[in-house]
Amino acid sequence: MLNCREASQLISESLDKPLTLRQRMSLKAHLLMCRYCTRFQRQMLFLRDIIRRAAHQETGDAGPESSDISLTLEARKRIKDAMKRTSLGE
Amino acid sequence: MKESPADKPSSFTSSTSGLSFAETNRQLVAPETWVDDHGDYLFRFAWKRLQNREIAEDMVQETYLEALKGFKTFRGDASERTWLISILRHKIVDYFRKSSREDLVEDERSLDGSEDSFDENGKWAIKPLNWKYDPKSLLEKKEFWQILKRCLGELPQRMAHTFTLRELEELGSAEISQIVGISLNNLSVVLYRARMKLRRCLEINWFEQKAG
Repeated sequence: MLNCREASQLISESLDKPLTLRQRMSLKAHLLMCRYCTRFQRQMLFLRDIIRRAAHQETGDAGPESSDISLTLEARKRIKDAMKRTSLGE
Repeated sequence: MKESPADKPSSFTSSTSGLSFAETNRQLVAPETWVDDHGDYLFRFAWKRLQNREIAEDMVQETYLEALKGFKTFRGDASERTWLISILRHKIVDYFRKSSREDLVEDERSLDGSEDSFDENGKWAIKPLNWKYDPKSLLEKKEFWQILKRCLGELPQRMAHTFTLRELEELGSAEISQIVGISLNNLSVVLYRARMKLRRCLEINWFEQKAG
């Protein structure tokens, strides 16, 4: 029988590669009787979902934090200057 | 239409061909609009993956410099922004590759599992909560964003890079283990630890609070 530690490791692994038949069976058996690992599995899917959503929001000018994350004026100037030097240096 | 030989663009830009060249390539030959048009977008993309303003700025700068050198090879079959992002993405992966050599030692320590969530029988020491939230509406909350950012920022560097390659770049295990220079087995362990840490961090800072 798996304990919760082993079950949680398998749940994490299942996010990265297909489990073997034996692993799937024993995980399934554990999840049937353990609601905490069932919660953990849902949390893992939730985490993945939310991270990927967050990643795709970056495009956006949408998203609650997009205005906080932008190039400073200094960085902008520095980059432009570096680009000028590069094109002149050719 | 004109029979002028196209061997060398003349320095006289008043010719029709010179003008149209400048026009079609206006964006590409005007680096300053480049930065204004895409700078923030590229920066946000880098910031999400690096969690560090300075490094993210460096990556954006390197991207523009490389783009400048390579813009002759830009065929225009993708949008300019897509093209810039693909350069930036390579820059970031390269950065992960280089920096993973340096902070090996720091991260090995965090692999020993000192912050274990289980008791000696392998049962949950602190039971996972029921996260009753809709991911979509959660991301609209500024407070949650702040916490998510902080939790990601608290991961040891190499662990954070590994997690980013898996969950944001969605690369496969074999590719990631090559980039960060660890075995497939260790990769599983690192990803597991990252997920455990993030889960716990979100639970303490958000879900426990909201459950009242």
